[in-house]
Amino acid sequence: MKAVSLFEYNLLRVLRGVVTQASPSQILPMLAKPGQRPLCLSADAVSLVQDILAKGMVRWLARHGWANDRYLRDGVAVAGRLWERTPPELLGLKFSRWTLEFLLQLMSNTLGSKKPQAVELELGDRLVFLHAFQALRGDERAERLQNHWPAISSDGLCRLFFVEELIDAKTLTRIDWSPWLTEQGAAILESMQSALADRWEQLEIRKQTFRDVVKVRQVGASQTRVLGEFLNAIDAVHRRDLARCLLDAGRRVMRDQPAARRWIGNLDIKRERIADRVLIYRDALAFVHALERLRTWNEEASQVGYFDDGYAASQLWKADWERFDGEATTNHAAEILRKARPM
Amino acid sequence: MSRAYKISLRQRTKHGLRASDEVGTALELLEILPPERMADLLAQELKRRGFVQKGDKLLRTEKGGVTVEIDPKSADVIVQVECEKTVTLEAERQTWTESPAGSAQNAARKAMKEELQRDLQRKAEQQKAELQKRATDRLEAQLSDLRKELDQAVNRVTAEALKEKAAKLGQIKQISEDAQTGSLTIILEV
Repeated sequence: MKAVSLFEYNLLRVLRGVVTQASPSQILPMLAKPGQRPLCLSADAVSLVQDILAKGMVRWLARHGWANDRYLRDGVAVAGRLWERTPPELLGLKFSRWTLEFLLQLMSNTLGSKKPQAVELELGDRLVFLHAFQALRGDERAERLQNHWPAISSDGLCRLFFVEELIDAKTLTRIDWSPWLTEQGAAILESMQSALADRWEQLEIRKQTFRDVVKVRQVGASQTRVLGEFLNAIDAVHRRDLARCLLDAGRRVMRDQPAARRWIGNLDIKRERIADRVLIYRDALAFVHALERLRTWNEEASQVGYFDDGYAASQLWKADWERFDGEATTNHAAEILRKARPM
Repeated sequence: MSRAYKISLRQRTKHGLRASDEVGTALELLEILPPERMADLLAQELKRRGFVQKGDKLLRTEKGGVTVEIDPKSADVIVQVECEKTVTLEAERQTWTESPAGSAQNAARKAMKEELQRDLQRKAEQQKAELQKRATDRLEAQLSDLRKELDQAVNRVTAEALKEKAAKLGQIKQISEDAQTGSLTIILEV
């Protein structure tokens, strides 16, 4: 039997809630009364932390990676579940001391007292941060997390998931995409495709209710930047198949052939100059603009011959394009952008 | 018995106000002929419609002082409007103090002067906002008709380019144009 202190008990409960994506009402009360940070954690507590991470993260990955699908491996499409496309021994997540340090700072309300360098973080750490932000999203603690733990704003996967929340302040934070473009990182990104599509679809639905022009511009600028950099990053490593989430989200958003007024109809812009309205429309329709790039990729894929490099990748792209109605989606996106132009 | 002393301040300022607005787009010309020839055809069509050459660009002034500038090489279009106005603004303030002179009066005058300046600033901003609205309304009033006209110009340039291209491919037997639908039929002997 293991014995832990009250502080360690609360830490373990928060970690378990974060990793199992429990409702915020289960996690927030434990953060409401921060405790005095101990000098170190007991061996029992550390062992339990390891156990929760080992089981919780594997369960989370399995839940997202179970679907039988095709993704590229060395330029060739490989079918199967996540652990069939990539050998399980290569999927093992590593956690550095920064996971424990993060939890200790979170529980003692001393976030930011020590901060990690990007090179010190493992993929496991980044996933814990993502889960923690997800758990606190909507609460003031999420803002504290964003302001005092820069590893979240600079993480590519966090920026993809939390486009609306992680808005750049006056100075732009450099976004690090590289961990998610390694063999292991890309495999995790594959299993996140559907979840990302869900998130972006929900954001586009929420944007219909936005009335504040400043917020529309901020969210739009964030989308433009994040989606643009993401597409650049995956293109650079010849992994256009990882843009499937954007194709999927695009199909869902364009399914009922919406008009531009869905994004701009609630905005009071009569007093704005036309030059400023153009910028507001551009930001409001940032997601729709991002879909244009996919059309260009499809045109390029159509020109790849049987004996050319990248043939297998282009075939996979074309299969995804057809599967997610890329033609109809991007045609309608182009129509929305054309009608939104003032002239 | 204490007395009250009235302080009255009036300020008048002249402001030169400027407002502008603009919108840009690009004409979608198909590359039927080489880019230089397409640019020439576009320039000819625009001149036919009252545009005047100014350097590399073609310019036309519309109603309400709206100017349209088109670069035939890149097919970029900029439509802009500028308005200027000089306004004289006046503001007045009054207050009462208990003494006719001294620091209390000076402080009251200083406070009133600051209020006056804020008042005048507010009036100037209001005037600027109205001028800006007028400029934007003028621009907006022109855009719809201008868009139709430019679409027509692009269609005509496309038709001319097609005729030229067809003439290079063979002998043109017949050309028929439907002005209403904008369709063009070219029968060619190759």
